[in-house]
Order: sequence, then structure tokens, then C-alpha cells
Amino acid sequence: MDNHYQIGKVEAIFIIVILSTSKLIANFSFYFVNTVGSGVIVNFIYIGIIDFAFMILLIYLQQKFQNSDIIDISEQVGGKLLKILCGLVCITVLILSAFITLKDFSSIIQKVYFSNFSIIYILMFFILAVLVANFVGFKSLARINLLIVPFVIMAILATFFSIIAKINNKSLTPVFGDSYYKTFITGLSNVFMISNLSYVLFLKPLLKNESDYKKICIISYIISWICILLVLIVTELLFNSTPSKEPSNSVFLLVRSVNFGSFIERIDSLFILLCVICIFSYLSFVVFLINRIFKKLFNITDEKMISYIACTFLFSLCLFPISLSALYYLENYVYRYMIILFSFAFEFSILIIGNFKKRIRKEKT
Amino acid sequence: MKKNFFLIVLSFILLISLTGCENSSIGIDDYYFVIGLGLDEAENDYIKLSIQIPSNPKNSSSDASSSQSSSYEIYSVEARTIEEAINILDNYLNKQINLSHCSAIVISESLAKKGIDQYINSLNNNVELRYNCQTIISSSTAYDLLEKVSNSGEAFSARLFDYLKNTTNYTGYTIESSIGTFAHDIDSKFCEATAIYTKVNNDIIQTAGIAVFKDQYLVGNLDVLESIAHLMVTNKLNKCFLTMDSIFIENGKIDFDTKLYKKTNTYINMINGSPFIKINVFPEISILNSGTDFDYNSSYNVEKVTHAVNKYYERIIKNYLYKISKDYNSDIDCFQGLYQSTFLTKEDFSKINWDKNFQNSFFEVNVTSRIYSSNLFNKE
Amino acid sequence: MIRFIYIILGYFAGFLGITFGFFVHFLVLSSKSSFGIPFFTPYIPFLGLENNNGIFVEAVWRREKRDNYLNTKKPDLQEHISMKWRENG
Repeated sequence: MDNHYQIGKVEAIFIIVILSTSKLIANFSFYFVNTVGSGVIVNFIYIGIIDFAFMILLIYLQQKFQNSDIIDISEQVGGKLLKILCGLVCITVLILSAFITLKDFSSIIQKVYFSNFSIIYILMFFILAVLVANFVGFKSLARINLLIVPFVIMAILATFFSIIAKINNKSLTPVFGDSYYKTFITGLSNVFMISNLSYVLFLKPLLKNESDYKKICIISYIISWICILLVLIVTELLFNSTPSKEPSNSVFLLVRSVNFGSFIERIDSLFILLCVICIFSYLSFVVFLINRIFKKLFNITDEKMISYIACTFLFSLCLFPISLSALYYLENYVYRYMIILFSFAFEFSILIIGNFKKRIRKEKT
Repeated sequence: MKKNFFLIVLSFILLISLTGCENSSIGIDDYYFVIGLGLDEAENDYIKLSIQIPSNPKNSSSDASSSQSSSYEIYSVEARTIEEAINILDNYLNKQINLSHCSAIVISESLAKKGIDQYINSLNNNVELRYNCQTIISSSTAYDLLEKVSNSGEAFSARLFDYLKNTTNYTGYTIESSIGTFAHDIDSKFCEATAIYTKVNNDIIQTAGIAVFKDQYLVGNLDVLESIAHLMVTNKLNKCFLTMDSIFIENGKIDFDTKLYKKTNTYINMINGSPFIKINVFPEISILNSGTDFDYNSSYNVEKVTHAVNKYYERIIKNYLYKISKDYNSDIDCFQGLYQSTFLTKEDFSKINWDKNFQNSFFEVNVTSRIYSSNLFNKE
Repeated sequence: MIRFIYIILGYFAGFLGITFGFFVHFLVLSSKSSFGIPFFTPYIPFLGLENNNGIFVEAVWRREKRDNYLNTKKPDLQEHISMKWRENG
């Protein structure tokens, strides 16, 4: 029941890992692989270095703002107007991420396992779980996450090692993909894949010990980078960057192909179980962050009631009839560039202006 | 505490209201589980889909005393696509067809020659089908093969399909070809697909080599010696047994079995716009029978046999390589993938125009075999 | 009592219902504490397994320290050599 609970280092790391790796469960690995082809590894290392550099810059810029997240910083920079604008932008990004992940995943499990159900029942389970999680409190959510994330990491490692030996590894060559331009210039937009930058800015007020912030950012970045790289490698091995393939749930298809003789086959149902819990956790955190943003924007005392609004909105958004090509466009273009603009332009501009203002104030005094 | 309890009760009531989901569950008895699925050519661009399902035990003969025996029935229907055919069969059989236990997809040679990309795509998209379901190309019709499988006397037909696949482990006469890797290779840009090739002789189903595809079309098949060569070149040979003419006795034969003691090395270069492929193979030979006059203690004899075996393998492998390049123009050994890995970008590799030049490839094969004692009794 | 909820959930929604039940059950349990200590200690939150790993139980004479998270006045349960009669012969 305690939303003022302060999280430790390990809990914070695992929260960021689950927020970053949950997009693998949607089709983003497929879009990534289609952009760069066999140059997956080189491109991912390249954008990993760029992202890491931005993360270090972000940690440095945020040093001067004690116990403040992006909403508090925007208030200090531009007053109430910028605070509300920033809040609305953050909420839009969070809602879009949650909507895409939920819509994708629920349509997959409806297609495969519950073909006679209506999608409304499947969505209702997710929304109910999120509601219950937000009512029970952030403390329990952070604690259940400690159990989930090691299993998710083990599952990714197991999938990687069981598939890598089977498929012809020539799919990963040539190393630089189709061309240098495609790998390094066009492939730069793949930087949305590691979206840790969007989430770490909300983390500072939740931490027990602020001095751990730098370690948390770096360790969570490395863990999510490794997990996403492994999944991208096996996606490229299995799909050969064939653009004509329908962008279905690539991770589900990966797991379908895992078998050890005839004894261990079709472990996708076990994997889906893990994915479902992962999505529950991810959505609960997203709604929790939305609650916090609303609380800060409008000075609400009991932010748990906002969960009703956020969940209803998410639910109705998911029921909106949207064609496959529209969803593809939303995922591959709108979400991609929105994350890039939010993480690299919007957040950094607020931080830079904030740092600049602080320095001027310091010089005046 | 009260709030928690209220929440749990509310969730419970909401779940009870989900009784709309109740009738959606389908039990195991409501399915027909397909063991083998066959695709044949039919008139007017239709396909003939045949399914092999275990028959209802009440209808089978009461003489079936063994608890493990079961009989099978085959149903066929003509339709334009696989999904349409399955739909028609669902209606005809009054139970839903489920492909979760399908052991083999059998495609007739005549249909495979016309192109099978859309059928493989359709099967690959099917969520029920297992990844390691075998792909078999039949020289006769698929219906014929499924019928022979049903009447083979084998208690479980699924096992027979497994036996067909397992022959690769001890004879080397064919390959393992799961639907997953088959579909992957059909779409792959640097490797061509292969499948198990079977013939039906006097009611017996035999693996007769490997079916070779170029893109989605069947271009030919490899016989058993060529299959062994393919397995050696791709490092997948487990064990095989061969016989060659004896160099010591006229009309004599030497029997030996082969494994690989070292991985096959392949080196590729472009010379005057044509690929030059050099392959080094390292078989380990164990002589099983060479006649009673052969003296194993003489190193001279062993050297002569080694030399003869090397020449024998070189001839087989070269024949195979020229067949797939000149006759079929089908790169089933993934030479393109291997050569592509030496380039940094696909743009650089595309200047070579591998697809057109593969037919002009020339090969050099070096076999370095090792002969081990097979612990046979000597003449004395 | 709770198993009936799992049975009903499983009937209505298969593995999705079971997973939902597990998630909610675990959430509620994580918020509980026994005598001031969180329910799943030392696993969640991870507070060190040096003295007691929660799976294997040591022999009585080897249990020398009390768990750190209990914040007891005396951290030592018994001396290093507790069976003095064996030492003295």
C-alpha cells in the first residue's frame, strides 16, 4: 500500500531492465533486423556506444538536480507551463509504448492459444492485473520484479544457446550488412531499441540512496544491451532479414523452433507464461509512472485513483480497430522517431537549459 | 485489509462474469491428430491434400490384439490451397484437424517441380505444426507413400517417418530435413533447400537420396553416393558404409565404413570471374572386409589402400560437386554463404554476381584418409 | 482455499488465468511482513544467504550466527566450539 517506498540498487536495476527488454516481446527486434540485415551486430555495437555516451552525459547533467525527476527539472527550468508540457509528452510516450506492447502481445496469444476468445477478455486480464498491482503498491511491484527478471534473463540465454547451434551462422555475414550507409547512417534510427534513456530520468526520487544512481544506470544498460543483442542475433539467424515475412511475434517464433531431440519440444507455452508475467510487470510500472506524473502535475493526494483512468484509457485504446499496416506504421515509424526525439532531443534540451540556468544563478550569487 | 478483500471479491465477480469463455475450450477428443500430410498435383492448378489419421478403435478389426497396434485411414481432398483443403476436411470429418503431432509432410515430385513456396509458407505459418516435422519428396504420389506407410505393418506410422530420417545416422544415404530448416532455406539468399527423397519399390518405402531445390523448384535428386558426398562436404556425416573394387584381387571388393576425423575445410576464390572451390576432406576408414589375402601388417599395403580410398572419394565428391553446379546450378552446400562471409558488405559481394557464375565453378578435392585397424582375423 | 481460486481461474482462462492468479497472489504476499520482516526475506529483497540459505538446514552445532536482517541484540547464537565435551575428550 506504500507508494513512497524507496527502492534499493538491485530493484532499480531490474526495473529498468524489464522496462527496456519488454519491447522484445513486441515485434521491435524484427523491425531492427529488417533495417540493417546481417549487419546486426556491428550496428548494435555502434548504437550501443552512442547510447552509452548519451547516458553518461545525462548522468552528468542530472548531477546538479538532487532528488528530482524530469518533471521536477522541467518545473525548475520553465515553470508550470513547461512542467505540464513535459508531463503530457511523457504520458504520451508511456501510453504509446504500453499500447503497442499490449496490442501486439494480446493479439499473438489470442491467435495462437485463445482463438475462440474475444480479445476483450484477454485485455481485461492484463488491465485487471495492472489495476491490482497499482493498488497493492509499488513496494510489492518492485519485489515481484526481483523474482521475474532473473527468469527472463535465463530464458533469453537459454533461447540463444539452443538456437545458435542449429541455424547456419552465415546469416550474420557480411559483417557490415547491405552497405556501410545502411548500417551506419540509416541504421542510426535503430537507437530507439535501447530506450533506457527514457526511463532512467524518472528514477532518482524513487531511490533509497542517490549515490547509486550512476551504477544503476550503467549496470542496467549493460544487462539490457546484452539481452537485446542476443535476441537480435537469433532473430537475424532465423529470419534472414526477409522483408516479405509478416511481422509476427518474432520471439514466439524463435522459441517455437527450440527442441532437444524429441523429448523437449514446443516449449513456447512455458515461454509465453514468462512473457505474460513480464508484460504484467511492465504495464504495471508504466501505469505507476503515469500515476506519479499526474500526481506531480495536478497535486493529487491519492494517485492510485489515476490507475482507473490510465487503465481504462489503455483498454479502450487497445480495443480501437486498427489494421495491421497501420499498427506496423505506428510501431516502425511513429514510435521509433518519437522515442528518439523524446530521449535525445526533448530530455537533453531540458537538462541542458536547466544546467545553464543553474550556472547563471550560481554566478549571480 | 478491507480494500484488498474488496478488490479480490470484485475481481472474482468479474471473472465469474467471463462465463462467455466457457464454451470455447476444445477437448482432445474433438480433434483428429494428423500423422502424415501429403500434397499432390491435381487438375486445374489444384492440389490434392491427403491426411493420415489413426482410425477409430471401435471401427477397426477386433483381431488387433497387441495394445500397441493401431490402423490408419487416409482422407484426400482437392482444393486450391492447403487451408481450404483442411477446411473442407474439417467439415467432412466433423472433427477439427490438428497438425500438432504431424511427423512428416510428403510432397510429390511432380508438384515440387512446379514450385512449392506458397505451400511451405502456409505450413510454416501454421501454429500447430512442429518445427522438426520432416519434409519428404516422394518419387510417386504422396497419397501412395502415405498408403504404403499405413500398410507397412509398423505399429505407429510416426515411428516409420522417424526411421526414414534416422537412416542418415548410419547409412548417410539421406539428410535430416525439418520443415523449419526447409522453409528457412527456401527463403534464404545464400543456401538452397534440400529434402529427403524417397522411392516406393514393391510396397517398401526407401530413402533414395536427397531432393535438390533451386529457389522453390525441385531441380533433381542426388543418389546415395552423392548424398554421402554432400554430407562429407557439409560436415554432417555421422557414419556410412561403402564398397569399392579391391586393388589386390581381381573381382574382389573392399568393404569399409567411414567417419570424419576432422572438419572439412573449404576455400573459395574467384579466378577469371569463376569460383574456384577447394575442399579438403578428412575421412577415417575402418576396413570391414577385404578378402583373406590382404596382409594388414604391411604398411605398403595400407598405403596402397589409403591411396585407393582417397581416389575413390575424390571421384565421388567431384562428380557430386559438378552435378550440383553444372546440372542443377543449386548451391546446397552454402558456398555462397561461406564466400560472402569474407566480404564486408553485401554491396561488394553483389558485384561478383555469384548466381550466374556458380554454374562455371571448378573444384579441387583433396581427400586425406586415415585407415584404422578393424581387428579382423588374418589368414593365419 | 486459494487453490479453488486457481482452479476457477484455470478453467476460465487457461494458463493466462493461472499466471494472473500467480501474479496477484505473489503481489499480495510481497506486501506482507512477518514480525516486521518482509515475507520473502532473504530472497526478496536479497539480504544475504551467508548464515541460512533457506533450503538446506545445517547441523545444530554449526548454527553459530543469527540472520542479519532480524536486527537482534546478540548476533551470535552460540560459540564457535559449542560442543566443548568433544574438544576436551
